[in-house]
Amino acid sequence: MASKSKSKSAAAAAAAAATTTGLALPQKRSQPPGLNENEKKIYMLIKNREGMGISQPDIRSAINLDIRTLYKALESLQAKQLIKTVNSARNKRAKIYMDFQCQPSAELSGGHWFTNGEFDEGLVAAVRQSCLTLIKTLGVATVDDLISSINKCNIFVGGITEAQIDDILQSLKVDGVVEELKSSGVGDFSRVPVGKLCYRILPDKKEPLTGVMASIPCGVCPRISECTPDGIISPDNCVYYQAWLGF
Amino acid sequence: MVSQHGLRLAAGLITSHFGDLVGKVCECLLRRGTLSLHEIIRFTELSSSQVKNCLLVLIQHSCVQAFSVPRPVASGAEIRTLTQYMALFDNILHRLRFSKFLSIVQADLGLQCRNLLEGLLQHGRLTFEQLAEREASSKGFEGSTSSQHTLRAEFDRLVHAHYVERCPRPEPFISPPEEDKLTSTKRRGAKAVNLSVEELAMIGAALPVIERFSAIGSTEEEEEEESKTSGHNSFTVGDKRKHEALIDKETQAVIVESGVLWRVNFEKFVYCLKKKACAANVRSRYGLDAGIVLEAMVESNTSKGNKNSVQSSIENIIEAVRGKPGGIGMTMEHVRVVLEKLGSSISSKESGVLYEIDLKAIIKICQTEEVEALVLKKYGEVAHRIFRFLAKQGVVQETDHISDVTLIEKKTTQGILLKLWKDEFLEMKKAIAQGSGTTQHFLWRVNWDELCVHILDDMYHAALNLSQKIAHILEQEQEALQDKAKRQRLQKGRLILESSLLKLDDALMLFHDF
Repeated sequence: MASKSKSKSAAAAAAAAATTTGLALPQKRSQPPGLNENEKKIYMLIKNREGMGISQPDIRSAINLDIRTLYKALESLQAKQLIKTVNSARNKRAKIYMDFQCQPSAELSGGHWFTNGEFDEGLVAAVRQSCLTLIKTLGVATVDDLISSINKCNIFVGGITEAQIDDILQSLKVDGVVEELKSSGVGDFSRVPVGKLCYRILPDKKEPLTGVMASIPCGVCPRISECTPDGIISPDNCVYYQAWLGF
Repeated sequence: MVSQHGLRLAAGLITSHFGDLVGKVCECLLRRGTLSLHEIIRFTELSSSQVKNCLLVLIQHSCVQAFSVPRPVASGAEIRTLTQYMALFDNILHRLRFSKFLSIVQADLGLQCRNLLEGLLQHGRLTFEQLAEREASSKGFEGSTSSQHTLRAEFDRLVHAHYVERCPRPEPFISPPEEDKLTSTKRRGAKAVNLSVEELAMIGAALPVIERFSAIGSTEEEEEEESKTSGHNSFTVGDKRKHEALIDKETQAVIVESGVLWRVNFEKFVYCLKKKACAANVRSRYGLDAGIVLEAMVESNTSKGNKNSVQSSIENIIEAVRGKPGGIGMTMEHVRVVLEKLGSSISSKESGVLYEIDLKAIIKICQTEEVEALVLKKYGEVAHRIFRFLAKQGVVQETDHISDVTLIEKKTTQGILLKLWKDEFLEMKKAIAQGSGTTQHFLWRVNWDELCVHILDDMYHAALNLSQKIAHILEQEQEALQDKAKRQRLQKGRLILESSLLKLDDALMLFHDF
């Protein structure tokens, strides 16, 4: 009876600690047997965070434990396969503790474009290129056009989502490659309902210019700051000039 | 404030054109600012006559302007003046562009005018008589009266087109600002306080527009017309006319021919090159027609005061468009469509509806393209995307936000931002957020004004290096007179360098003169 009331008060303390740090606890949680008080508190805290997980400093600020006790408890919980550690895409150095049964949330894993905690540049480039080709082919394209066409190509396992297409279109807009406009229902827009958002390649978008500075060795020289008329590095003995002029 | 590389480039140009002594005097003025003769002698450690001769050469070529200021004397003593010399950095750099000036005049007014201009470029400032002598001696015969008249007509064309102007006053007297305050009105006094003595000297040296472009054979009516179009106060013209009425027109022309010094009007050529740069940019963005319409608009510009924009009526634009080889077939409707594409604004004035185009905005696009091309080549495609995003936003952006919006991995984004910041392409600020702990955020932005200064300095450095390499190859060519194959290889390399320097100079003007 005494131990029951003790465990209840421990749970209440954990809940109170969690509430003070903004971590809400649900009313009822099953607790695995064979855990000491500290392990129980820590386990409940981690379990309640579900797919978001929690870092070691956050556990310490929620439950006031010395570092050695905390470390021991976390080791024990991991050995019992009640919790696991995952990496955060946002902060590679931070170790996140999570319930063994949970899957990392999109925020933790980095979102749509992360595979195994790593940003998938190849995937982004492939989808970006597909979107550009489709918009060029169609003249103007809606998000639905892009989703259906890309899903037909099977680039994405499980199909691409609207949010992913939005990300790509936003980056294309920022790069000044495509523009967003509402359909007028005539001309190129005839197959798109009036007022619907669609995208097209910017009419004045041309190949990037070859700038003057970009076309001479000094413009892109990594040693330009050390180059002086009579110095060790100077135009008279410059290897980049020699290569450029074919000497 | 001109950067160190800019000063070195200017001094190098003078040294290569006029020799070491003139170069030394010029560099002394460029580095130390305005100086008196004694100060120049002291700093350069040259003899008085050497410095005087060097200054004469520099003044002859409009690279130095003299002006006098009152010399401090004991109270009650007679006021004496002190002559000061200031280097004209912009005019020195224009020496890089002489070939461009010649081709502009040849395309506009023909070969004869080009030859006359060449004489002025070579000798700095000449009277018409000296120019005619030079022309006659180059052709190997004495100038006949008819050929003299033809030459004068050609010269007048140069003056009417403002390619050539009368030389400014040789040594304007600049009174100290304290005296100005006492004698002038409050408004004039306030204005004078804001201007440096060098700026006041330039204003003092400048002739009124009517006098500056008054041709040898110009009649009173023409001068009156000129004064009306230039919109300047004509009271000086009135005084001049009273005086000139006493002298026979032909006698006056003879006096002008032998007594008035002429020089090249760099201002006009800078404007022509600006027109060319803007037209080339819109042509590459919107097609050939856009280039024709913009050129026509600049040529028919009625807004004389504002150099950053051009204004013209549709009738004048059409007339100028029709005068161009590719513009004969363009209809009014088509010209209107092109004007709309060019982002022109329409305003109603007493004279009718006027179209206006902001040239500064086009120049800004040219500058942006130049910097973006550099970032692309130097740091790669991903850095180009990040830089483009930041340049477009104009305000500070946080690292994570940049990474999210551009879809570039955070670590890559951080690395690129750091690299761009180290090379002064970006400005970085740290922000500390207080929450459960202290988190540091890095904020980034493109500070366009500072970036332009930095790019311009790099351009001066690159131009200096190109000039030095050209000189080095010329020396090598002299050494390789016997080895034909080597000499040809060197000549080929020099041609690449020289054409690159001309192109780089276009970019320099984009950031400095336009």
